[in-house]
Amino acid sequence: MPEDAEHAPTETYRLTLYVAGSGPVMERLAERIRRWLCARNIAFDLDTVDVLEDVDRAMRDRVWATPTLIRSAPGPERRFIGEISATNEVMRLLQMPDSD
Amino acid sequence: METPPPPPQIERLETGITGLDRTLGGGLPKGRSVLVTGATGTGKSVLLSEFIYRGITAYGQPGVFVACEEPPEAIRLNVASFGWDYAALEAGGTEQLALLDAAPFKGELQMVESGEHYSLVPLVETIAKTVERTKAERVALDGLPSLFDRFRSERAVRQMFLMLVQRLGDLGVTTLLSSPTTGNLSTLSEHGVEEFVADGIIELQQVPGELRSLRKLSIRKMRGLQYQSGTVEFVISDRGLEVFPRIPLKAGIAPELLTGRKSTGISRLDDIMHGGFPEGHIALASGNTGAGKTVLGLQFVHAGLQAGEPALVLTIEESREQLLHEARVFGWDLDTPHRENRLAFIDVPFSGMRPDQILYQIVNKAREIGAKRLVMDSISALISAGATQREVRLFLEQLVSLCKSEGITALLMYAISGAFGAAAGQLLGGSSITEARLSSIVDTIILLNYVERPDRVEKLLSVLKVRGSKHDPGIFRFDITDRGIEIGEREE
Repeated sequence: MPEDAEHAPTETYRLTLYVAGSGPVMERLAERIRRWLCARNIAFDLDTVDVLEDVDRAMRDRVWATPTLIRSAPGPERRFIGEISATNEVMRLLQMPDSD
Repeated sequence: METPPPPPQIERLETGITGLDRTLGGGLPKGRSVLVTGATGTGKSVLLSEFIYRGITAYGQPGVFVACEEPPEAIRLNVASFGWDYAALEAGGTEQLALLDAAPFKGELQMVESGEHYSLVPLVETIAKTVERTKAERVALDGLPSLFDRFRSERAVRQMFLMLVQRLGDLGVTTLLSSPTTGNLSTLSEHGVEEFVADGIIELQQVPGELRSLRKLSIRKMRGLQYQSGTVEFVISDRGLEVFPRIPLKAGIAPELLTGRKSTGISRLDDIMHGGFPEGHIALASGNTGAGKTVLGLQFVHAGLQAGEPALVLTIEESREQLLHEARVFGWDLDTPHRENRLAFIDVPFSGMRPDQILYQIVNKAREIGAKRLVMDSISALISAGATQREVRLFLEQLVSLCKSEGITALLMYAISGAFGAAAGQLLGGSSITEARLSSIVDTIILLNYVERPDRVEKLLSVLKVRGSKHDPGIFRFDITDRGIEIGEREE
């Protein structure tokens, strides 16, 4: 059992992942995030956006680079820009309580 | 044998910004990206805003302004101070301008090291979509590095910048990107990214000057194009940017093409010089205040106008009204040619004048009216106003080039600051250090002076040199009569 599972928040995580072009890259990223959250018993709702398909959405959400992961809940909003698959660091930050 | 095809010519796109296109040698490289660098407050945003504004209003080319630092509302407010109504141009129906708000997310942001999938695709695609919608031909990206400033890897910045520039190139738009050169946002310039990627670099600077700080612009690179190297000055007025390009030095104009002489309007003086001022040359008239320099200048202008030669008068010390009035006293009608634009004046305020800016005005006005004669009253005021010896020299050298290439004969006044009443001996040897330095550039030198006699004050004139011509080296008395300068007896 993961060491920090007992700190699992009760609120559902609302996440949006923005990538350029759907395909294996996007799928691998999304899958990695899902697995990580499941392992920690975190309830989540993950939405994926291909900015090539929906430029207007990216513009509206002020997303200028990919990949970008937005955690809109629990608030305040947090953004992670960069190679999300490259490190566990982002996952740790994603779970970080807001008081930190 | 087949001849190799000529190298593809890069088309130019005129910016419409006063003086910038001439400095650029015709305009920006069309369909390319040019980086504008400079510290905060050097005028990068104004340059970019005006580039877009002139495109729409002067050339009918729609534009996209991408605001990466300031919110669009601040941009609209800034440009309104120049009288540019961005909101009106943005209005629907015939949307000619799109203002994109690309300021970075202001909330909590975690930056992760970039990797191979990292890209600015959303930004680039947003710009592309907007360009297609507005049929834009110009794009300005203001404060671009604020999008990059969280990236740790130089390679990542370079890749993204390259992608951006390539995509803009594919869209066929001509782009200006601004990038600060100081502070922690200097990623682009510090790592030399732009050296590899941008097709050109324009650098803006602000340096302390005598009376106010000076703005300077230099073109550091413009791939495949001829442009003016070196630094030129510019100002930001209430109408936007005004750049003062150097006059291109036209080599290869043989001096023997200009063999004519130009009458001074004083026949005895023409005789002393064996025929008047050599055409296309620069003459210097030196003397104390009140010695008759202004009259000499007016007479020279009047003689030219009588001979059908348009004239340009640059005055620093007297207003055009004063000069027109003075001419009337001698019965020389300068008002008519002035009305008909055969005689033009440039009034330069004594304070805050700059040699480069004056030169630029001279060139423009001289070409506009087809001037064949030029009077500047005075070159010494330029020195009094704080121009350095080097600047004055450079000014004169460029003026020489202008006069030779356009066939303009010039008479410049030089006021000697000296005691009233120089002795004849001083007059003969009498060039100050400054004049001696100028004398190698000017072709003709005339000295005007007062000499005290026991019973009266005499005015004396002598011609010190006429380049490439004989002249009478004598000293002559002269008077200012109601017909102008009249030369009298030779002083023995």
